[in-house]
Amino acid sequence: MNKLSTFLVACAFLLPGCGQETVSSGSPGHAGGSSFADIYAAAEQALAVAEAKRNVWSKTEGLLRDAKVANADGRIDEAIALATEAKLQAELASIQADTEAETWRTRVLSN
Amino acid sequence: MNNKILLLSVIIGLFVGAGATAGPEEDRTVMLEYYTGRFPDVPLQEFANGLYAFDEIAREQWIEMEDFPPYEIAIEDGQALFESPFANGKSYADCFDNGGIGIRQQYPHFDADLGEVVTLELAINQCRAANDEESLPYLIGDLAAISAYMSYTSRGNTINVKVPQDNPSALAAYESGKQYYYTRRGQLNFACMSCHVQSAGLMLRADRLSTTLGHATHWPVYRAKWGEIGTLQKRISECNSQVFAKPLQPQSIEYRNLEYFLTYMSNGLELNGPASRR
Ligand code: HEC
Repeated sequence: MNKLSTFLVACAFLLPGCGQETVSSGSPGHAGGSSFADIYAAAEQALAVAEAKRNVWSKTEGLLRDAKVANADGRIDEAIALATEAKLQAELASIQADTEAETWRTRVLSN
Repeated sequence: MNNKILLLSVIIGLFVGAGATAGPEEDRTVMLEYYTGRFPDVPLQEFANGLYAFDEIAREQWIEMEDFPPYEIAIEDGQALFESPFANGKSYADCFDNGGIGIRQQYPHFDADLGEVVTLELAINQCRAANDEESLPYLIGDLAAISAYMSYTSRGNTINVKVPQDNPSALAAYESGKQYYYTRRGQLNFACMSCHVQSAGLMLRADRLSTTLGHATHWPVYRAKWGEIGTLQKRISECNSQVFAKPLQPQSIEYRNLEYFLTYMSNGLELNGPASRR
């Protein structure tokens, strides 16, 4: 989590788009021994946290829907990869909201 | 000012000072100076025309589009809707000051009884609710048409949004709108200000980015891309989507507070809606 946070802060000063690459690198490898159901539940929970912070990214819910479909179709690796990516996105969105809760002030125009 | 913040300010190329805690009038003055400094050849009222204030090629196409204003039908439809009575015999005119004619410059305002910001679009639906009529969708359609007619009758009036100094809740609503404007969001990690303040006048793909100043003067808008008329909050939703942030509900508290801040920034400009954009 700490690593992600550092990443996002760094991201804020680089060109946009850097967040995108990182989240798409979420792979089943991260999942270790967890089952799809566990990862899906964790992703939903992370999304609920981001939702409560009124800061959801636009593709996260779609990723979760796709994960569900892939799982139902028996494409388990793909399902796990999608749910992992959704979870990562939701976590990054939460960190973004937390970081921004104060950082926005540094951006306000003043003379 | 600590070192970290100083470093930040250098990186983003802006000066950090009392900006985050300045009052509305100071915010507006600073913004005005920022844009007039950046676009010294653009007359103030021209900012109400968005990117057409400084993109000559786009401006020519826009002037051609305005030869047969694509929003004219919406004004006519809106007038007809505005004038047709509700089932109880009353009408929109009964809900608004001056019968609803020439009053857009008063919106959004902070409703002290409700404790919330009221936009013109919200007020239209409040009027319907008070007369036992169903709410209309906020982004396009009949409500946008009624809003277009009401804007049309307000053309030339000067925007005069107030944040009552004696009401801490009003100031808090304004501050929350300001926070929204400066907060990075979405997968691309952009704030409204990243594009419309920092990058105003620069190209983003096919578009030259317009300024915050003038963003609230001309709604609703007929956009060639939409093929219909839409409200300011439709545009805001789209700007959220562009950075892969999930849009909030139209007329959510956050969007209304944002509209309060955004419109305040255009105080002193004349209303010129409805308008056309590509
Ligand atoms: C990634 C860049 C980007 C971000 C971030 C962005 N916008 Fe935009 N916005 C655009 C582009 C591109 C247009 C169309 C060209 C123009 O008018 O600037 C536009 C247009 C607009 C317009 C219409 C201007 C007109 O003349 O009709 C408004 C209002 C607006 N944006 C508000 C916002 C708000 C509020 C936010 C924050 C929620 C925001 N924008 C964030 C890129 C952005």
